[in-house]
Amino acid sequence: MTIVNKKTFLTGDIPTAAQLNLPYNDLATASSNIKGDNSATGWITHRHLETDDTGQSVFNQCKQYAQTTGTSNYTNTSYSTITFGGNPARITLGYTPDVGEIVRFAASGMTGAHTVSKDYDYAAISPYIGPNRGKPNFYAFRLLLNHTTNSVPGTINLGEWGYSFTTKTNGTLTFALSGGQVTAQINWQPFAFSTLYRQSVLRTLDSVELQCKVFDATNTLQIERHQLYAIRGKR
Amino acid sequence: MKVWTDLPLHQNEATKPQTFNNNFEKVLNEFNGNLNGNNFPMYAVQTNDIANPGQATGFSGAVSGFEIELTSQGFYSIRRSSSFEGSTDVYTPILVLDLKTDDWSKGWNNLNYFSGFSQFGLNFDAREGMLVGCATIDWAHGTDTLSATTGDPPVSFQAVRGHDWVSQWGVFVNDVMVGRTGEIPPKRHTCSIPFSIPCGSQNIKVDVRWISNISDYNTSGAPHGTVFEVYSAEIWTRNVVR
Repeated sequence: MTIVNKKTFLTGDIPTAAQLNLPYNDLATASSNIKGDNSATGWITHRHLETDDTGQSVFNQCKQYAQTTGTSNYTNTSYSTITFGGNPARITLGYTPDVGEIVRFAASGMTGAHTVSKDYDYAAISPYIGPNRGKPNFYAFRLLLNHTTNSVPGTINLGEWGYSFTTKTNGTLTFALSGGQVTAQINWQPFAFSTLYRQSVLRTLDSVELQCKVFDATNTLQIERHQLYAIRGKR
Repeated sequence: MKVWTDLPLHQNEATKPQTFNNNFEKVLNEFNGNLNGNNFPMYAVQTNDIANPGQATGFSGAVSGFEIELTSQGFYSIRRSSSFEGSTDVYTPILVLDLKTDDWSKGWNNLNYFSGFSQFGLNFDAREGMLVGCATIDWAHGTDTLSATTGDPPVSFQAVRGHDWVSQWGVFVNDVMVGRTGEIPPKRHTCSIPFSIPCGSQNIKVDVRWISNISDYNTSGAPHGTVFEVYSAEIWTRNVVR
């Protein structure tokens, strides 16, 4: 609120009731808008900060999804949300950050025992030649943000990250292959990645999902435990 | 402090102007800059009571990212990714080095030395506190097969790289390593390297570097290439100040 002024009465003044009441009335009005001008330096403590997780807390807010049991398999060549037991790897956000706020997204997990039939192109089989050479060996993850902007649903690709099914390695130095052989596949490999989202325009963040895909549908990606985090940095 | 009536008024009492003045001043002085913790209830300060951070400084092109200073923290981010800035999809690298023919060092190689990554790295003025961040690099090495021959008479065979091919990534803050992966054998892998380090009110530079130890640059056959590939790289840092 603004600084409140008052009239100073001198000896011999006969103040009116209105003059006597004015500073109190001004104060009553202005005190609904208290600002830094009105408070002493260093007045605040952590006990004064809202902690209730209702959207008005001044602290960062964390939402989490974790799936720690079971496995699920994927042969899709376009992104599909990782799902186990009917539960998609998804965090419901349901808030509208102020423009300029930051949300940190992180995902991690463990792959299981894959079934790999193609990992490279040494047989030079179309279409895995030229620019697609080596790509059957890959699988990838994506974090997808679902939002609503001006009542219109939309999605934002937060990031994509890749891994290979096999190490292409066995023993030391080089390892000789026989025709059609797949090299040692990497089972039980951890995966992890994180990124930031910046609220550049006002939009409601509905949810975020962890998705995966493989390059070649003859390979099966197996996902074990996985978890998602969304940490909203508010102020 | 708290507010109370300095000079109470009583029925039928003659009142001096000084009494009114003192009572007003007692109240107004409190609200004119002396409110303190006694005057505010616990949990009273909410998000909207703290200034909105406003818009960040964003940039795009060969790299994308942003810088923003909030009240209690600052965020700094930079990214170059095959899915966004430089290529077509997650399967196509945006940096391909032939370790046999291209220029690289047997020591630590700063990623911003290489084509397309010259702008990659964080450079900002931090506030005193902590830097908490993460570098995420999606990369591959040694995943190519090669055709080689052995014996006499020569017998052609297909081969792949072995365990003696190792690379590792490190995160450097003002040229001091604050995180590293350890040695990684041939494969495509996304490395997530968290880091945390105290900082003063100073300029901060954060970059990522890799080091490789490889043996057979070439064999007697015709390799596809001795490749080191990067698909995406991203660094973000949170400057925690209070």
